[in-house]
Amino acid sequence: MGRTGKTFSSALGLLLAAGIVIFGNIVANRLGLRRDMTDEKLYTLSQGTRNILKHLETPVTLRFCYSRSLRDTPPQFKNYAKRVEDLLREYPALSGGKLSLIMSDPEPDSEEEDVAQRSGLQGLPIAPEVHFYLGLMASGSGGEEVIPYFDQSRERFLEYDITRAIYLASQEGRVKVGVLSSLKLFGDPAPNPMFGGPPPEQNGKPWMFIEELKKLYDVSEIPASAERIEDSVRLLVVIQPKDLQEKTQYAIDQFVMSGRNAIFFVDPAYTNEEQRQQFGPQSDTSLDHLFKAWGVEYSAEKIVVDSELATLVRTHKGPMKHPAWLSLGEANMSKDEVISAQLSTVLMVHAGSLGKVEGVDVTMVPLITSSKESKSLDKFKVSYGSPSSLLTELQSGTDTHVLAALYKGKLKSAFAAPPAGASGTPVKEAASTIAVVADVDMLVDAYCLRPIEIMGQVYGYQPLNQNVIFLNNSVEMLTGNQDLISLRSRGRFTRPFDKVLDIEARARKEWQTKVDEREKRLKDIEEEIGKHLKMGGDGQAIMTAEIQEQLEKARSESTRIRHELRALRRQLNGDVDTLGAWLKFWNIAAVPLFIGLCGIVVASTRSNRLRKQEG
Amino acid sequence: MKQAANVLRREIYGYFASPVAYIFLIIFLMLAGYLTFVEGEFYEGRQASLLPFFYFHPILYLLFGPALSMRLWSEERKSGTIQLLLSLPITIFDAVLGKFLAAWIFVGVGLLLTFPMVLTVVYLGSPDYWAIFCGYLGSFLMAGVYLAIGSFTSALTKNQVVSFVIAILLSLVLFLAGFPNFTRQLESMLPLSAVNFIASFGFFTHFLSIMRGVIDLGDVFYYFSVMGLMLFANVLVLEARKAA
Repeated sequence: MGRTGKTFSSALGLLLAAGIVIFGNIVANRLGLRRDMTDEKLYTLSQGTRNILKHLETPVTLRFCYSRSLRDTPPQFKNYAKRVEDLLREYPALSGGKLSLIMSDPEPDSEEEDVAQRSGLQGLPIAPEVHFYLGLMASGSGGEEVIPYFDQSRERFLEYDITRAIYLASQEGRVKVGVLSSLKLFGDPAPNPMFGGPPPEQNGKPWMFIEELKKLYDVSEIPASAERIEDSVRLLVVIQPKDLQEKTQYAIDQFVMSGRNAIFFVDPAYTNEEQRQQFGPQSDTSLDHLFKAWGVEYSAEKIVVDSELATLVRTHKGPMKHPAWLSLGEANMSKDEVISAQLSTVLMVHAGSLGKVEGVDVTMVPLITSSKESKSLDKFKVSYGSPSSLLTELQSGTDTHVLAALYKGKLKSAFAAPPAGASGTPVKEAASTIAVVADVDMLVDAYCLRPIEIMGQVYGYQPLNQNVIFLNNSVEMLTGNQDLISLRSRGRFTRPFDKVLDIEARARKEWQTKVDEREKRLKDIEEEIGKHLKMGGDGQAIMTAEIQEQLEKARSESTRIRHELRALRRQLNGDVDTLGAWLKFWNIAAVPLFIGLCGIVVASTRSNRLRKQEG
Repeated sequence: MKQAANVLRREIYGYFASPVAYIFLIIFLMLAGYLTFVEGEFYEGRQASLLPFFYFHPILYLLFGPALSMRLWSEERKSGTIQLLLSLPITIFDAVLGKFLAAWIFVGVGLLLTFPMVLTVVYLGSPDYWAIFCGYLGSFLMAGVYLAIGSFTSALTKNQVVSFVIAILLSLVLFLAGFPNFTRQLESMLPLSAVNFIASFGFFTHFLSIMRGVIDLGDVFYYFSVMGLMLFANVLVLEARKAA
């Protein structure tokens, strides 16, 4: 072969190799063979998300708005934004081309910022006229779903939030929620509190939580005598039903057996004061049959009392801590469930306790639990006993009790055959999730909201606690499908500098009292100066020499303390800054210095050797 | 292969016998530390993770890859030692592989010398060790590609500076193809699928996952296949020269 021929064959070989490389890369990328080596499997999307993405029927576009080019964004924000972006990048590959991701950088006064604002994204003001955006818009056939701001405190639910937005954007129309209750939750045009009407505090108006739900969902009232629940209802909320007919029980059972979810609020002693005085505590057993089949253990005869969670209530003997009024805090909420993880104040009154029926194959996931200092007592004892007598009961034999829980898995029907008058064959089993909450009082307006009244007119409501948020969270989660529900809280991406946090805590302990002392002294002096100035009059009267001297003294004292404060504040950060400077030195200069030294030693040894050889 | 090992040994010895290698390591380490702490705001970010450290590696190698590899063949050609090397009973492939591996190992030593970074995160918090391992692995693989490109351009010319410039240009193309700021610009001009196709040949695209702790077959294949292609081209160029 001549030279030209050889060159030609080389060029051909190179082209062929390049073709193989390009083709091989396309194939290798498509294979999607990957292994997430991180401790928390941070970059692996859950099976639930995978299922939702796989079954997307219509295209969904994600627009990730992140103010990337803003200068001086705090590094913590940048880190978290990167985390969100990384996770978002995992989505499109699993959607079979249905999901596309657009990156947007809403710079100040840009068109992208207008789009972000119009869609309801929340910009964090970080300088005058400058906002930091970190949100998501998901648009599809169901309209636009927006995550206004990725709050780092919700990091563990990052995947849930994104997947939910995608899911809702792909669903057409508003989600329909059915509410079935024997209480007049939707208001009563002719309230009659004497005979089982709405509690007097509701005054015949719809309960506020219903109004809240209506803002987000298509809420419809299902009569307590319903024999069938419409197919369009996505979620059923059952609240304190009374004497349900068998046909209605069957309708509820078959609703759950259709794979849809339901929430039950039941109460061993629904505290409607007037009813209670006249008829004793109200309770009902018409759900017992269903609960038993689904594995829910609940007794309408027992009330949980808790000495640690007792709430101060007004009694005819004055204010007293009542152990049946439970002020539940962060420690009582399950941190792994979206519904409860971020709640910190929930009030429950005369709540019952929940368990799981032995031998029924469902998974019970507690959402809210009492403290260890609680007991489940007979409801008459609690209803008619004094708070102090109940607290005496709690001195021994206490344990924790579940007050709200999810029951998931393959739920079994409570009916072997349809009841008389109902037709069709009952579905025997379905994968569904139900939430059971053993308190109804928590939804009463007076226990969760305070009206904002001006001149006797109600202008709005202020939440007293997070009871309504608890309900909203439950509805939000359970209106999703089973895949969405399966998404639990994820690992944390943040791995803080524990060392630095320790140093800061130590420094605060050491210096904070001194800082506080000086700040207080400074405040006193400033008040003193103010007083002297007042005494000196408004410039018309002449200050006495004594006042002037005192004023001067106070001023110089104030300057001295300000100096001291500055020095102390420096001390507060001092150790952290020193550590940072040392680390910078070790990482930028220490090893290079060492290598430099090694180089010098090697070079001089060699030149010595050469000199000796030459000599 | 045995011959390649001989070349490798000779080259490695050559690196540490010259002061240039020490200066090289010093600058590499100082720059890596500076970029991590100052530009990457590692300490201010307060996260026990080496992401701010690895994030700058594609840029770091953009400078160091061509600089380290520019002399691999240019110098031999300029001084005429290439004739000597090729007259030895070794194949061109062995020579190319030996020289490339020596340069790659040298960068590996440089990477190992960044160990204070690992000690720092361990001291400050509780890092994810596997993620750190993956970061180093990805960085090492990416360095291999930069060096393979440099080795190839070094065989093209006798002039080291020319080799350096061509290597930087070639590397820059692959660097920009996956650089997020650049691909975002492309998005406004080209359809998304075209941008994704271009980005799939970028260094950054294949470094992002592995740097965070996710090993993707596609990424590993990319690094080895581009390295292989460049070294193959390197062999072809030398063969053509030998024949000439």
